[in-house]
Amino acid sequence: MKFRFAAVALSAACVLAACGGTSDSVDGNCDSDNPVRIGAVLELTGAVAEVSQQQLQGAEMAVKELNADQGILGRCVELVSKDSENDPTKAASATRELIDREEVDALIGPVNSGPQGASIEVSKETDTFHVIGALADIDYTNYPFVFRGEFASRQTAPGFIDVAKELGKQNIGILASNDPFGTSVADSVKAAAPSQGVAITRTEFFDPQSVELLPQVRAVKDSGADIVVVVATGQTGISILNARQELGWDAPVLGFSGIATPEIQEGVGDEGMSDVYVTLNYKNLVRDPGADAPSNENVVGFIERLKDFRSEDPLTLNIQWPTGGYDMVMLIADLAERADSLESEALRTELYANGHDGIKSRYEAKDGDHDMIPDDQLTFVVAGTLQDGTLERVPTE
Amino acid sequence: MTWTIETIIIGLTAGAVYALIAMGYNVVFASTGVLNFAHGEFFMAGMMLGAYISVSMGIPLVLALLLTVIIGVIGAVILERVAVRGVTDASSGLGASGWVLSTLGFGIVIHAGITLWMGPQLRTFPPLLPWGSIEILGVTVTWQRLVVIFAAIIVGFGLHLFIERSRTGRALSAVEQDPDAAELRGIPVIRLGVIAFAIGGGLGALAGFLAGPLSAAVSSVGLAYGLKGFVAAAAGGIPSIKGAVIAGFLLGLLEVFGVAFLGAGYRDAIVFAALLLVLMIKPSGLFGAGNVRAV
Amino acid sequence: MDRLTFAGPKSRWRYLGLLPLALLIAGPKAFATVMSGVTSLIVAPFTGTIEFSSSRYEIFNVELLLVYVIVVLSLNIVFQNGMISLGHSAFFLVGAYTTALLTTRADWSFWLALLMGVVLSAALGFMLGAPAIRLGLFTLAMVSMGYALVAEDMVTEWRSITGGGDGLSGIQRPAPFGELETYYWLIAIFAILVFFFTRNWLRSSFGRAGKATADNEVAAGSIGIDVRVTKVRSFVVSAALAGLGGGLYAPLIGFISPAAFTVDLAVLFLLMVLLGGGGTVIGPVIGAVILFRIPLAVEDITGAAGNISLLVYGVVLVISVRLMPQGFMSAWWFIRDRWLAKYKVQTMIDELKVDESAAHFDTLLAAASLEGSELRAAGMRKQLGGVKAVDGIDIAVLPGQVHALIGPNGSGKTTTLNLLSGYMESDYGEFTLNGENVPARGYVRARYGLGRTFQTPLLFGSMSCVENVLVALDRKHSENPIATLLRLPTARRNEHEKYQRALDILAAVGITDPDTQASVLTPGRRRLLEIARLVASEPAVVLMDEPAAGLTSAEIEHLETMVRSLAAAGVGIILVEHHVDFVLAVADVVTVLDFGKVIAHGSPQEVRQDPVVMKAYLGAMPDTAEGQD
Repeated sequence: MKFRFAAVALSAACVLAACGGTSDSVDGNCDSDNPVRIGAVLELTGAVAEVSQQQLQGAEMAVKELNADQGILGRCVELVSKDSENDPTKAASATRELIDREEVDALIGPVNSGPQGASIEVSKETDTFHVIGALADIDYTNYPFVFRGEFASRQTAPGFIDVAKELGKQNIGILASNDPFGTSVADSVKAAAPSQGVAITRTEFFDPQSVELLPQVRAVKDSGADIVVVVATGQTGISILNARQELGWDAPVLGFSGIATPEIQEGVGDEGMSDVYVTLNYKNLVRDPGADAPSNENVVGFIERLKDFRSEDPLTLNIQWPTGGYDMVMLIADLAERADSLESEALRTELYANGHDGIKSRYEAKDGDHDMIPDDQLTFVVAGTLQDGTLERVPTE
Repeated sequence: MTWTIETIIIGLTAGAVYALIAMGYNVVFASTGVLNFAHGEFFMAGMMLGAYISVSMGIPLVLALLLTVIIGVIGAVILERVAVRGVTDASSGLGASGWVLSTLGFGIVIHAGITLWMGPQLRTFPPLLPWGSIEILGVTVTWQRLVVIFAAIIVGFGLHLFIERSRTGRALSAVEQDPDAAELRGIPVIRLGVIAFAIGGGLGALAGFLAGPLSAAVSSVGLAYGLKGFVAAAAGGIPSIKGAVIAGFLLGLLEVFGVAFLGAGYRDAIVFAALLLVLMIKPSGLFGAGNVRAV
Repeated sequence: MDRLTFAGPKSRWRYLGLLPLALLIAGPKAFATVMSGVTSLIVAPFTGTIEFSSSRYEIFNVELLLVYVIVVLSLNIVFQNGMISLGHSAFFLVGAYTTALLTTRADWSFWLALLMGVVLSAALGFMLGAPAIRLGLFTLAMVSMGYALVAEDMVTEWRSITGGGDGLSGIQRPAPFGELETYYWLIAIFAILVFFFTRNWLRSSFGRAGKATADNEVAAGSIGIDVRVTKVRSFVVSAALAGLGGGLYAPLIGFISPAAFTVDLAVLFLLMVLLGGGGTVIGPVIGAVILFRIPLAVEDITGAAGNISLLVYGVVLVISVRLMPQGFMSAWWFIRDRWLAKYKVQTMIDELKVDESAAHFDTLLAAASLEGSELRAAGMRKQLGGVKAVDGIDIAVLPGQVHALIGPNGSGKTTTLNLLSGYMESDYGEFTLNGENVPARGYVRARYGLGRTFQTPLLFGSMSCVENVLVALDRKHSENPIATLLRLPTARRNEHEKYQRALDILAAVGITDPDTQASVLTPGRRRLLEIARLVASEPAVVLMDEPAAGLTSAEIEHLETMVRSLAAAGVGIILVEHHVDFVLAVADVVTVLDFGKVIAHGSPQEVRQDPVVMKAYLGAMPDTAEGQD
């Protein structure tokens, strides 16, 4: 009996604490009777929970700002979030729930490819305007109202090779997790290498659940690589950087933001983070060498507002993910205002015609190509330089 | 050559962690016939609490280790009371597998609770000894790895002696062989169950504390480690402690070399093919008693 | 107890089962409305809203639930056979990927692709079933979980074929079930078919043999059940059905990726079976419904905050186990029986009426027209741990003869019986039944008509008395499996006849409460039930290991008449017994063993006078050894 009471107490506490998934703080000049509802399918638990939760936070901040102003088309905005648990089945169910039960006007997320694939199958049925955040390739002719708000996997490879060459390195080793992201990056770097005049000395895949990766790092080092592309996050990121240090290997590391989190930085120390460069960052979001803040004024403003929103100064996270969620919501709001409609068709037409200027990037799309981030927005940053939410761009001569 | 020795040491380190987890399963199973499906989460909790107590609270490492293990023990005693006692009934066979659900549910509670409290992100964890290293056969080996490897061996040895030599230890294994007979002989079956869970929980938390510094603590590791620990236990022969230690080390070695030669995608395939092979040849596991009922 | 027979006493509660069926047939909207409504009613105290919805979301939920029900029912077949599988997500995966790949990449028709998925899953099931024969309960669970992990890994790894982690999209639902609403019908039809299939399976001779195997493998072997065949058969059938579930899943979502087939899913399937009540007909379905709706309900209560929902889910799991430790069905039966007990006069267990049942037993045996066989074993030798347990023993028993085997403890009597039964292989020696060599395998010899009872009766404890007998009858009165699974009239008639015969046999040995669970019988009744099962298996030769041990004198008298009747019916009997009076009363021939050798052989009177025998019994007269054990 006492257990049943525990559950009741727990649930009651939850209701009181309003741990619900809808944010409905309405205090602006918008009409709160008939709100615009934006659904978010995100991986709030599971392997990519951290990224998803930061994206959600950005989206919540956007909603708060919209509601403090005019909302969308004069109507207040409600964000309804659902957890995909990083599971395609759950993502499909959550997307349906958002569309059919919550009757959302547009969707954002997921950020991982498995849930994303299932989610867009559902939004396709109702032609819901849908901004996604994972890299997996999509044939947009089948998904006419799906738009990507992050880099696509094809955009990842060329950058690596350019930076390697810029750093004067010719022999690239690859250390990648054997998940979809890792394998697709490794494949595309390998495919691009010959035409760019660089050699791939060795590719080592590892299981994301490995404890330690010293043997793999040793194997890549022994292959004669003088620079290494790393696709790793969390524990494996720490393992690789520790192993590099342990082996006294000074090859620069090229990786993704997952390897440059404050936690990893703390885990491996400044020395472990030396010569680590991170791609898939956005030109707008980075600092020039020696600068205190990015040069883009919008980004500076965003950082200030995010500090308020998080009640945190200076910021300890990388603003890349919050800006992602923020931009997804603002993109929908901006297109709707300009098109004076929430119809998917109208939003798309407006997007095709004029694009959208977000915080982290400009967003553009055309028929059949809905990867909205332009190639030239991609930039590399130096890991270990995270300061007040941003990182330093790789210095170029 | 260097690569080989390094790989062996990495394999042994991972194996030591598996061995420590496997021993936890075995002690609990030996006296209760229950497989603690929440065991992997005890490992995770040991990792996360260790990080919290030592880093965030700034308590000295040895004390933090002690505290973590004590919390593991308390948690396991609660688990026994809440999710095991009263829902097992060995005489009803498969029909009474309620504990499968309840221990899993308890594990989910631990997992979700800790993730809610400490977040999904990594927590750094300082090594028990400074990140110094010594040279073995021309290869530098960090102290932390040696600590983990020796901890598994020492704990295994101690536990083996405890079960073989002490009154309580012998009573533990007597219960497994025949609970009813043990009850008749005046062995306090319920109290032994609590003791077994306490030891199991402590071992799980200890394993987590020791494994933490190898990379960092994170709340999502429970399932994977719980599984590998069980593979080691099954291959070694439940409830043999010797089997758990040896199979744990073998599993760690098999994994690193298997991945090195066949690729990371085949990690699980290698592990389970080996497990199947062992069990086909000897269904009770490497060191399981041949004639005792198969687990 | 869940009945394992169709012909048993009908409960008026059974029509309750028609309610869900009616609901299913009422269509997607009705079903969705009820599901969502009931869920919202349960959580109404927390949420403050009640919502009956037939939205596409709820319809989708209902369809996904039915797909899970198919898989969970399939898992139940394995479970009933005494095995735990955490690998059913692998079969589900194979079904889903086969269907998806063949329809999207090879342009197969959906139906052919679905069939192929079922076939391939069955093949994988065979690969998992084969090792299952040797593995213990939890190691099998572990190894099967390995299958699930490896299947997921391989799909990720072979990305040129499977699309890897990015998954496969654009999986179409087949016409005329192209829309979400119409696809319901396809899933519902399959769910109903699978439900009746598994129900009939569990209650068929297959299911009974499976359950018997789960209860006691040695006893199952003693009536001729090949334990390996049962287990592999269960796995193959179960895997095929799980593959069917997978094949239906892929077009429901329209997209599949390895992330959808994790071990978590396999665990969920198992939890559904356990929570509802494994091995019961309807329990797993209820378990599936409960566990499918709980997370949704929890989410309604807590909102969408992931880890809080997870936390509450964990708490709910622990609570439900505390409330119903043996699953929903056990809890339901407990409540129902308590309620029924108010209206039912407790029937007194009848006194054993020896005379009446003895006469009955004679008529029964006479009607059965048993055929005795001649058993011959020559030169049997068996070394156990360095000791010559059996050292060159010859034994022969003719039809209708009662041959007693006596000797001091450790003289090799039970080893001899085990060698004769085929549970052990002799190091040397010949064994023939009616002149035919029969391999030393328990179930094979049983099929040649070698019956066996054990020192401690080995019964199928979780089954009722009548079911214990039915399992044995199944061996001799095999039925057309297709007729059984379709429950054709012939099969029903056959089943009814078997049931009547089982009751008849039970009455003849003196058991008048056929629905009592075997595990709660008194020692004397256990022996009687074992004999009833023996008679049902229509043996040609019978090996009895201390049948009189632990019986009251009235019961021994009863046993005596039954042994005599069996012999009179032409069955040859080998008897190991300490109870000398009993031996002298029934035996035609006595063989005395000591140290694994025959030291005397002859009629009871001859043996009694033999000085060697007296010496072997430490100078005591054999009749004073009475009661020694």
